[in-house]
Amino acid sequence: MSESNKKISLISSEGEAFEVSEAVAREFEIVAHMLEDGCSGSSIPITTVDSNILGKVIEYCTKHVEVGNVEGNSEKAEKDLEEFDKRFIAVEMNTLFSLILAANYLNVKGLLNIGCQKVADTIKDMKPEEVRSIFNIENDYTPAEEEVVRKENEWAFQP
Amino acid sequence: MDRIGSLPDEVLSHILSFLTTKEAALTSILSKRWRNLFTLVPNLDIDDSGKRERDGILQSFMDFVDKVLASQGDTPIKKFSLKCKTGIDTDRVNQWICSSNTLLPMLKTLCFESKWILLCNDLQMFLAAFPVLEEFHMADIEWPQSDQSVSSESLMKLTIYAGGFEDFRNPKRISFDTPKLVYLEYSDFVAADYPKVNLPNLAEAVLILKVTEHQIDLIREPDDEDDVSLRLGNVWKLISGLRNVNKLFISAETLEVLSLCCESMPVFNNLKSLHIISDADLGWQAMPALLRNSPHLETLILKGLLHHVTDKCGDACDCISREDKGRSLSSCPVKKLQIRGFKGTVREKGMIRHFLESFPCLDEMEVYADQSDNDPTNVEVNRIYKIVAYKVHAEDVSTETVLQSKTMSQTQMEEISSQFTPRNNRNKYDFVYILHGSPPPPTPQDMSEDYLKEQLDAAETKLAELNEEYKERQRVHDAMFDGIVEQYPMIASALKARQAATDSEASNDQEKKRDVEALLEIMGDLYPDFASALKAMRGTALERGEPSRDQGEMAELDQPTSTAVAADLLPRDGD
Repeated sequence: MSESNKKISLISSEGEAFEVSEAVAREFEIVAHMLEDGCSGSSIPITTVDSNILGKVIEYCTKHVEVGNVEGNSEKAEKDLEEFDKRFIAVEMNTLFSLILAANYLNVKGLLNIGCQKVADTIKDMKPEEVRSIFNIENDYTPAEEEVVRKENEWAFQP
Repeated sequence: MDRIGSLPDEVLSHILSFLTTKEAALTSILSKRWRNLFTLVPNLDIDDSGKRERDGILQSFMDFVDKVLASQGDTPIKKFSLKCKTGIDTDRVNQWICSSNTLLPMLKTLCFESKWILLCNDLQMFLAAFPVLEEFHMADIEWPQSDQSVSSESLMKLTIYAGGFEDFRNPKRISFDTPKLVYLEYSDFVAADYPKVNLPNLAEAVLILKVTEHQIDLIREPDDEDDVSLRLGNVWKLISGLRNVNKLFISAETLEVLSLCCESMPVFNNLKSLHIISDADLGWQAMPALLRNSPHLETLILKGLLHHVTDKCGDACDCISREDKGRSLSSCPVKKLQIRGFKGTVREKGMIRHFLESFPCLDEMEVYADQSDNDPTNVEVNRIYKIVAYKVHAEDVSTETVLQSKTMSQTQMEEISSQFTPRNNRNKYDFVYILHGSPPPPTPQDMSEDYLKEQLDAAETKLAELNEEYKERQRVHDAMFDGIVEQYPMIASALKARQAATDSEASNDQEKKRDVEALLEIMGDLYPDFASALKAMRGTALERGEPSRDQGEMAELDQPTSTAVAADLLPRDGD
C-alpha cells in the first residue's frame, strides 16, 4: 500500500496545478468522496477556487495532516496547531470570505469553523451600523420596517 | 458589492452559531435578508445572568423562546443552553426544560444553570428522551427525588453541580450508566449508595464530593461502625467506577472521604495526571493508597501542602516519624511535581524535601508561591513567584545548586534552598528562583530555537491582528466619508473646489485625499445643528485635557467620532 506516496493534482480556476499527497487531498471532503466513488484520475479540477485561495487551503490542510501524523506529545501539538490556526486566519476580510466560501465548497470543516468563528468574533461587539459598513450590507428596510423588526426582537435590542 | 452577501445562508447561519442567541438576534436589523437568518441557527444560547429586565422585555424574550421551540422546521435545535439568575418566569422555564425532551429530539448539547429550574421528573426518563445528547451540563440544582440515575447511550460529557436533596442532603442512591462518557465533572453530597457506575471510556474526572462536618468527625473517629458504613461506606463503588481515567482531579473533602476506601482503592492503570487540592482542616490519610495505586502516574499537582495531621497520616507526608517513611512515594513513577499555594512554612519546606528525597523518577518540580497571602512579615514568599528544581543526572558535570536572581542575594536563596535540598545523596537538584517583577530567567530547554520561534510567531500573529483591525477601522471610516460625500452633491462640489485649490498650492498628487477638516467645515456651514453638535463635542474633548493640540491634529483624532456624528445627524435619503 503506497497510499501515502500517491500524488494528486488539484487544478485551480486559472488552470494552475497543485500537486499534493493523497492524504492532504482527502482533507477536502469533496475530493475524498470523489476518490471513494472510484474517480481514479490523478488530477481533479477545482473550478470555483482561484490559485491564491487554493494554495492557502492546501497550506492549511498540509499542516493539519502533518501534525495529525505525529505521535505523542499531543498537548504541545495541539497548542502548536492552535497558534497556526490563529495566524492562518488573521487575514483581511475579502480573503477571509474567499477562504470560507472555498472551505464550504470543498467541505474542509476545520477551516470553515475557524473562518466562521473569526467573522463571529469580528462582529460580536459591533453596532448594526458598523456591521453593515464592514460587510457592505445595504440596508433595504424602510425606517418603518426597521421599527417593526426592532419591536419583534425587543429583548435582544435592550442594552 | 455586498461581501458577506456572497456567502450562502447556511454559512451565515454557521457564523451566527458562534454567537449567543441575543447577539445573533441583533443581526436581524441589518437587512431584509438577515431578518430571519438567526432563527436558522440550531442553537439556543441564553444567558440572563445580567440585570433584571422590564416585564415587557421579559415577555418579548420568553415569547421568542416559545416561538423558536415551536417552529424548528428543517433545523432542529442541537444545543440548548439556559443560564438564568433573575426575574424569569419559573413556571415557563420549567416548561421549556420539561417539554424540551419532546420538542428537541436532535439535541446534542444541553446546559442549564439556575436555582429556578426544578427537574420536573425523573432524570432517567428525562434523559431517555434525548437520543443523541452528547453534552449535558447542569449546575445549581437540587435533586427532586432521592433516587437518581444518569443513564444515556450517547452522552460523552457530563457536568453536575448538585446541592443534595432537600433536607436530607444525601441523595440516597445515584447511578451512572453512560458507556460512552469521556468527561465527568461531579459535585454533590456523598450518596448512601452507587448501585451502578458504568464508565468504561472515562478519560477525565473531576470529583468534588461534599460532606457535613458531622460526617467528617465520623470518618476520623467512627463511634459506631454501622453508622459510617450506612452513610458513606459505598463511596468506593463510585471511585472504582473511575478507574480508567487518565486525568483525575480531587477536592480536599473528596480526599478525606477517600480515606474510607483505602482498602478498596482501585488500581488506576491509565492515570497519568493527578490533581489534588489540600485543605488545612482536611486530612491526607488516603494519599499513600492513591499514589501506590497509580502505577503510571507522570504528573502530580498539589494545590496546598498543609493538611489536618492525624496519627493515620500515612507515609506520603512526613508528619509523623515512622520507619517506612516515603514508601508509597518510592514506588510512584511521577516525573513532574507541581505545588501551588506555597506559604513558606517550615512544615511545607520539610514536605518538599521529603518529596525530592523520595520520588525516585522526579525530573522537575515547580513550586508556586501563594498569591492570595498578603502577610507582610512573610518577605521571602511575597517576593518569590516560583521556584523550579531540575534533577541533576549522574552524567551531568555540574552538581552545584544554581541560583539565578538579581534581586535576591545568593545567601538568601541558598538559605531557602538548603531547607529543600535532599539530605540523602540519591537525588540532586538545581534550583532556579523566579521572583516577582523580574523577567523569568530562561530555563535550559526554553532557550531552544523552538521556543524563540514560538515567541516570534506569537508576536507576528499579534501584529497581523492589529494591522487587520487598523485596516478595517480605516475602511469603515473611509466608507462613511465617501457615503456622506456621495449623498450630498453640494458637499462634494465644495470639497472638490477646495481640493483643487490646495492641490495646486502644494502640488499634492495623492490619488484621493480625504480632508476631514474641510468636510466638517462645509457641513457645519450647511447644517447649523451639526456645527453646534460638533462644537459641543470638541468642547468636551478639550476639557478632557488636550488643549495643546491644534485644530488640525484634533480633527484627525476625532475623525471617526466626528464622521459618526455626521452620519447620525444628517437626514437619510428617502426621509
